[in-house]
Amino acid sequence: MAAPMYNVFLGAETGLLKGINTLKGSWNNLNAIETPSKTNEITCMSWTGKEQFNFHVGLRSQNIANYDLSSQVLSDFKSFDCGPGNLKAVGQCDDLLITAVESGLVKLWRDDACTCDINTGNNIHCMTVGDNVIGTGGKKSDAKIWDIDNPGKPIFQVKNVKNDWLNLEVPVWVTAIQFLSDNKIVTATGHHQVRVYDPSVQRRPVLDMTFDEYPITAMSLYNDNQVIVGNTQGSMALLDIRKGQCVHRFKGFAGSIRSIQCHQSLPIVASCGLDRFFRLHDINSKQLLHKVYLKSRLNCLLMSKKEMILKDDGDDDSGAEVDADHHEDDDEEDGSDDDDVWNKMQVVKTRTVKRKSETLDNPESVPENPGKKKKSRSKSKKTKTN
Amino acid sequence: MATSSSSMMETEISLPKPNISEIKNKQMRQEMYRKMKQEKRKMKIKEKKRKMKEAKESGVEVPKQTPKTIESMRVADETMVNPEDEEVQIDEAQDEMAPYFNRETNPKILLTTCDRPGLRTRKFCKELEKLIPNTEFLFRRGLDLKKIVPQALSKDFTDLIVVNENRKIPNGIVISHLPDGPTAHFKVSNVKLTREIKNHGELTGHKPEIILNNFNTRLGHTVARLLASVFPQDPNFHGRRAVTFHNQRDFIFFRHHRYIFRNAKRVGLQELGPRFTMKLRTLQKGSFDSKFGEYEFVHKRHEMDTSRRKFFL
Repeated sequence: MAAPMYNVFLGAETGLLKGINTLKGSWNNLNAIETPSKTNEITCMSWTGKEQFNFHVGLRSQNIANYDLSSQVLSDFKSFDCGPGNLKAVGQCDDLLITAVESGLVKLWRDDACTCDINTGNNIHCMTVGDNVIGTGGKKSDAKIWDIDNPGKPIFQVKNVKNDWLNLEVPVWVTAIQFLSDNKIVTATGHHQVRVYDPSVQRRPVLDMTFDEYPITAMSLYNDNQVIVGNTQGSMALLDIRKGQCVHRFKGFAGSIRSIQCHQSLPIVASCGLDRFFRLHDINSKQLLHKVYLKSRLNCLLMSKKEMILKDDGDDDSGAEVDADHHEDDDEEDGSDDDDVWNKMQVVKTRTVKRKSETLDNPESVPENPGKKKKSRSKSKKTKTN
Repeated sequence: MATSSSSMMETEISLPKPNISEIKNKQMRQEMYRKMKQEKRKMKIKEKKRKMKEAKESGVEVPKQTPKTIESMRVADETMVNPEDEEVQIDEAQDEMAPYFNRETNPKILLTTCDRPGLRTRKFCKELEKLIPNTEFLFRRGLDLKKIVPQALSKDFTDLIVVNENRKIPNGIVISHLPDGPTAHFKVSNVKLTREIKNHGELTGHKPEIILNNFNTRLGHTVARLLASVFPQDPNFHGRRAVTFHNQRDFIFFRHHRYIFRNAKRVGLQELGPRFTMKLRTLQKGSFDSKFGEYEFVHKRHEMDTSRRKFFL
């Protein structure tokens, strides 16, 4: 790892693209701004493929560029005529580039030529791309799912919840939308609701819960049963969307959260927002693992699926295990070298290790000496690799 | 009694000091203890003075010690702004107060209160009206702030200031920069009106000079820019009016003075206007919208006030 490999990318309101290396705790601006202007604002980013070799960077002024991770080069910004309003979201589905603007016009581009456009209703706030489908939602236009191959009509259109006790219409303001597995969708709204829809059952939500009292601005899936949401006051929480309950809250935010992303495999969540900080939390222990001040208000963030080894010294168990797993996965040469050293070493039994291995409730582990020995050994190995 | 045998020799020279903790009478014991403490303190000061004198005579430089205050022991803040930082300059060049600093707009302020203000709040507002040039003080009449904002915009106001009160005592100020500038909510305490200040001076209509002290973090910069943009640029220096916003431990002290140069070294100050203290509660992006607006900073007391030495401005 000679060149600084960034594993998190953030787009700022000033128009600067920032890369963070969470392993080293270093960060850098990946582009330069000559003339300060509000149109430079980076509003959206998205990976171009599942392999995560490069990603799109969309500006408010409907200019889109591409950043390549291996060569670390940001291409020139190309202007796309996406329709009236600011650019709100970009996405990629196979070889199609998908753009969404504020006015609700979603356009599909193939080789910089517009292949078709979809009018999804006005005031779009969010768009997400799934397997050949797009989900959209906004203010006064409820969530819709569109088929990319057949963009004439939405394949699923959400129905608003029933009128309230005064027989007044419940206002609609979808701020975030995500696809769950088995065709379900989950939305977050500006009226602090989180809703789960199951198109195979009904058009109204199958679960409708509220979180806090302020508009939810960002949402990310942790797994199929849990999402992480953040609001304008800077509260971020893990919500259970089966029970409809808040599991726990994360601490340390000063301002509105603009973007949240969970890691693909590790229990880690990254978030950024108006308080100009990038934060990395452990989802299970709620611990703040990493915090970087990035000087500008941050709009969006992308976290690579690759390594996300943490800076801590392995004093807590979960972090250490994450580290250790990763060493085995990624740095194979390093791992083998280390293994030799560790294999030669004598096993030192300490009281704490013993106690830990005893308390581990393994149903089939009979109090047998060799098995226990192995366990304690692997434990000590893991903690020492850091 | 037990000690008498061992200190026989000493008793001939001086009486041993009584052991205070063995005195049975409580009042007496306390008195003795107090006296002992006093004596010790006196000795300490005497010793210190003697040492200083010796050092001075021998010509050794004694470094002046700085007191350890919670302010000087401040927890390091990574958002501290370096004035040469290019990124902050870019950020500030395109923020909402930039038109004021580029001299494109002249401040025009709409001052109002909560519904049905008390006497003290009204007096306070009248003083603010006189203090800030180009200000119009209007009664609220139960109008929503969200409805005031578009009306103020149509009349070319650049800032909206709302004074709130509790039990007829002003306790909050909302400063909202228009058209889409930030909105700051301050807690206000220790308001002293002009009449309550001893030897206060008479106000003149000159444009004041603005002094902003210690706004060093990124948040502090934004707040300072917001406060500065309420006052017009190009002060009338012969008016010798100075308005000070002094930040200390996140409390912003507001003072208003007229200065006079007595001679080359001495400056005289005369306090003029009201005197109060503000503390930032929230800073919100956009014009006033407490329910749906996005906050840039919310002071969460239980979460943030973990250390007495941590400050945000």
